[in-house]
Amino acid sequence: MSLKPILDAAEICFRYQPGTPVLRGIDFQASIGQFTCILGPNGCGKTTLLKCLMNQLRLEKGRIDLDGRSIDGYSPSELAKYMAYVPHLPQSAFAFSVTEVVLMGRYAHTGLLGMTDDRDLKIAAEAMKMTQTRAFSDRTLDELSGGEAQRVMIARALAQQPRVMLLDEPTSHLDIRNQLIIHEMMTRVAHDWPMGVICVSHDINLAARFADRMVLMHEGRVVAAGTPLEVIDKDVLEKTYQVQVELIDSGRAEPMVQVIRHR
Amino acid sequence: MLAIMDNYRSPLSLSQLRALALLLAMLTLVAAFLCSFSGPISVVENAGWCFWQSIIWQGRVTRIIAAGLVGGGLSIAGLALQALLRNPLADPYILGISSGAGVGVIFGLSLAARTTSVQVATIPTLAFVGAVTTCAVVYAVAQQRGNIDPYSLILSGVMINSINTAIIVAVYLFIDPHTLTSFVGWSIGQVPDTVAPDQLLFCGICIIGACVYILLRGAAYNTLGLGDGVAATSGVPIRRLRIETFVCAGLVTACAVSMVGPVGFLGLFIPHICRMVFGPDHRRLAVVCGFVGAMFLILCDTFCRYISIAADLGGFPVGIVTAFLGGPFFIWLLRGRRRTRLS
Repeated sequence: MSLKPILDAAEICFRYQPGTPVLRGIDFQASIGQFTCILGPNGCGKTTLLKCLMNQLRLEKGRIDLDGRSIDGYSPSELAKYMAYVPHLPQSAFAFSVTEVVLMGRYAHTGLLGMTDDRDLKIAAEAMKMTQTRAFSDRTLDELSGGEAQRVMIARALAQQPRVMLLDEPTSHLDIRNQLIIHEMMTRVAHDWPMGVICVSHDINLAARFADRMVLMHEGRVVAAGTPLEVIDKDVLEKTYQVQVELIDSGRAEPMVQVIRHR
Repeated sequence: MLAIMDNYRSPLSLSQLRALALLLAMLTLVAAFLCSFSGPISVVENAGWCFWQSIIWQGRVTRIIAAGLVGGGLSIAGLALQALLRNPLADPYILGISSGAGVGVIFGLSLAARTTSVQVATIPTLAFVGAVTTCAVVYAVAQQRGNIDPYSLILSGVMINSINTAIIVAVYLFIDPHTLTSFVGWSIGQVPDTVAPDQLLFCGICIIGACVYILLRGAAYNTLGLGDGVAATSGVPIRRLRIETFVCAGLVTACAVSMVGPVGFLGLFIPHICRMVFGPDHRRLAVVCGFVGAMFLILCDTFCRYISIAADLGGFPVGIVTAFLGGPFFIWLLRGRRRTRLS
């Protein structure tokens, strides 16, 4: 399946401080209808790559095109109509209800005072239905479990009606049931909505099971990219993570990775 | 609407906001009207044009308008700072912005004592420079890679406050001792008996303009509460919003300080009390805080006017009342936050 990339990054380099490059010439593409997982050990530059893709960091080298146009040419509100972000940990400094949080996703689509209308409410309601968050629409984020709060943040991102959704380790603090729910949701969003979904993750097996494409990073470089079958390779994983692994038959196309010991 | 959102209370609409603003504006006008006629001189006995001109207009109405502008403005500035910094302890007084404006005012007054070329905008402009410089220093000290620790922010505010206070006291030493008494009242926040109409007009336009800007950014402040990453990808121009908010808060504080001095804690407890009653939406809160803050300071100042007459004082600073109310409130908030952190 060859899809035209909505997000196309070429040869991007970035460093926070002089002398310590974090990204060293990354090529990355994401297409609508595709769920892409970015994996790699801690400190390899996954989150930095995500921030570069969201145009929050100034590149040292390289270019990022969004829908065929340089990302630098987009105003914040234009970018918000293309891209939505789900953070690692949901937070709200003030006690807003779930519906109010989801409606905040409509910010870029509203007028001078940021007032929402019936159309915005309808879109927010659809996003809440999709993420099964309507049952607690009157509660605040503080009153929800981690999984429920993360679903609210996904609903808020969906309410933006973006073409690409970026998620930064959305399931790393959740139990296995909620991890499955969120991954199923991301697959559904990517295929049915449809949009490009890019997710930074630490769980190779969940990523392999749900993602259409995997990108494995190590020390600021992409070491493997492709379908889960192409990326899950014993030697590559052992070298990247500095661990000994075994690949087990999972009963599906892609094998399951079992970590034996670290080196 | 309810069919779309089964069990959700209707979100804020423009008509609701308009009705709320109208109601609160009327209440503020009633409070201002009652306060302008309350005082030791009987209105009926002295109902002549001179009486209206001297006592009601010059002696009370301008004073009440100044108190209303300062009360509403500082409350909205506090609200904007709390939203921007995601910090419930933020307030122009605690962050040292008021004392920064105070430094500008003191220099302006010293200049006015020496030359005759001081215009109506000179003192507020110098106060604005002091306020914005303080904002920039406090922010630069407290932030690390764009993240601000709430306690570093308060500590840097305290530090800058003490430096500004030292400058103000140093300038006091060079001021004629006869005029020092009026500076003592000003230094804690005292609404003067009369405010020059041109000063009132200039400061009024600046305060109302800055407050309208903050009201228009209400939805952006709401989104900012979800974190910088979420806000930036929702379309909030964070960097611009930060600069504009500091400029607006600085402008309001500068005008307030140039008229009545650094009134403390008003920008802290009015937004908190309004948030408890009206919820966290900053579009609604900006309207509510403006009017509630105005009413509160008008009533406090009327109370001060009575005390001043009863105790035969030259004037009673309204800052004493707000400090007695706001200080304990600040401690209560600080303790509440520490408990939350430990739990």
